[in-house]
Amino acid sequence: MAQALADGLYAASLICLMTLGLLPLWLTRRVFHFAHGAVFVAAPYSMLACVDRFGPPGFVPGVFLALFLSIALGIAIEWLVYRPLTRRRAGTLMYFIASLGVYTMGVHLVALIYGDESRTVRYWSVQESVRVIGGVHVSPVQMTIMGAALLMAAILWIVLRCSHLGKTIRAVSDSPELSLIVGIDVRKVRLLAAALGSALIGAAGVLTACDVDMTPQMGMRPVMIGLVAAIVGDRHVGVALGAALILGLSKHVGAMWFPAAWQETVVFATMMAALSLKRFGALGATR
Amino acid sequence: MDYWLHILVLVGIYAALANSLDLMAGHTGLLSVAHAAFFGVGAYAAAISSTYATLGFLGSTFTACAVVGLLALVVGSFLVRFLGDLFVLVTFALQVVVSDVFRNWTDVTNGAIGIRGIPDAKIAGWVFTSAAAYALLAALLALGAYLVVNQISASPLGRVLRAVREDAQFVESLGKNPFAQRLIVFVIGAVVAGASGSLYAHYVSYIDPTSFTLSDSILILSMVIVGGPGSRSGPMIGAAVLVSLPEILRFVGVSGATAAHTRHVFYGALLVGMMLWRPRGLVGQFLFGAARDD
Repeated sequence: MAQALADGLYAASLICLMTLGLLPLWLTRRVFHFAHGAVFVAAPYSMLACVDRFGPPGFVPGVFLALFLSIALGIAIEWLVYRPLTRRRAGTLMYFIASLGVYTMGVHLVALIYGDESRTVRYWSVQESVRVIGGVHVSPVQMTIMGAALLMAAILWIVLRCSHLGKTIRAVSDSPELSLIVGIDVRKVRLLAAALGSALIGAAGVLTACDVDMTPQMGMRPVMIGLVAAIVGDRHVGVALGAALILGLSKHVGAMWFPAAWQETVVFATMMAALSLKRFGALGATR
Repeated sequence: MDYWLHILVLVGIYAALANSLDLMAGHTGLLSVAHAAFFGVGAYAAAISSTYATLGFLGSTFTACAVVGLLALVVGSFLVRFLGDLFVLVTFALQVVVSDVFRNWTDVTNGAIGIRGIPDAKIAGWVFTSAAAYALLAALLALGAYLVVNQISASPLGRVLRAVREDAQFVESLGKNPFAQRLIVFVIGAVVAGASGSLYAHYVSYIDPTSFTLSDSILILSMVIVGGPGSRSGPMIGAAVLVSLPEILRFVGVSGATAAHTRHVFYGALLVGMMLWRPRGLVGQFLFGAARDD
């Protein structure tokens, strides 16, 4: 049980990072940013490009490249796809379809270049020492990942709650029209939010790749899960994080009762439950 | 010649799939990305009935429709309560869960290995083996789907559906029950998808979970979008375009896994392009998901 909790907390930390990355995007646009699944995938693969080319010394530059690329991609998506759609007064479903198109394009481009098989950037020995703390097996790599994830998440939380940018993001999420009226540059806010969110999503992708192998398809589920947590929480960042925590825990705690192969199903069932809560009212019903 | 017949079979099957999705999405505003899941459930149900219970084609198709219909009814009565955007998300979850079931419920579906050796379609002693025979069946299926969708669309039910699509609350105030309308459409669309699955299973004689994934749902959705949601012939045109265009890629020399990925890059670009430049689709009139002046 303690092991399941520990694993669950690890999974939750990554989901929290995804959720906080998706929140600025969700708040400023209320679109299902499926496109950022492509960002999640592109980041570790760009790291792979570095490591392929320069060997282990390429790892750190790879991380920087990944973050830079994530931000660039996020801004590009906002500028080239979402903004023109806003000009055309598109409905949310149209954004969603376009977002899906971007995801499909990005993921299959990666697959074209790197193939479908799993690749890895982990040049260190995977058999590395596994410590046992309080009867629970933890790996130092995972602990580093978890620490990094939580640190970035905390930074973003502070940004959202306390900074000027955070305030303008929340303003835009409440009412883009009113924000314009009081002089907020909504377009700029959306761009900044895209940059910020994409950086975190890219970071989540990089961290995930440090723990498990990468495949081009790896982005879909983390994005979905993070997105649901973000939607459920909406303006209440704490609720979003709580949802992320529960979703992370559900994966491993669920494994205690169901065979391992059904882990993802448990998560998605939990997701449906979370969405039902939102729809039917425990957290403030939406129609 | 056989090659073109093969394309025709696929176009027929996907036209039926696109039409049934359009009934849900274009006519009623229920954008679902779980259509391949129903397609798959139908295919698996038919495959199992045909291979293990040795039912004829009509028997296994009926079983497929019954199974899918029941599933759609049960799941739909919960899912259809979600409006617009949230509905998309829950169908996402549904698709993922169903895909997982295909892969993990090995007792029934054989897991990743799939079901092979599905017998050719048998109707009253006639065995369908040639591509031409299946092309005929596919054409009938596509025609059937087209008729179902357009009859509904032209009927009073169709009018109510379009109203629900535009403003469900208003429809409720007029005394109609949007939930019931949505559920009906959801089930009918799913059943047609299930029937298509049965034909597909008998045609290709081997199915596995990789044919019924989220990407396939997105592909079917693309056909609806490209053709024109809510229009009469849009989905069929979309199906014809999206099935045959990649074959042209084949002639240009791109093959194998590269072709599959290139195809999907193309589909993705098409989706983005359509949204940016022609959201109505090639022949549609309904501006899908257009922002309203609320």
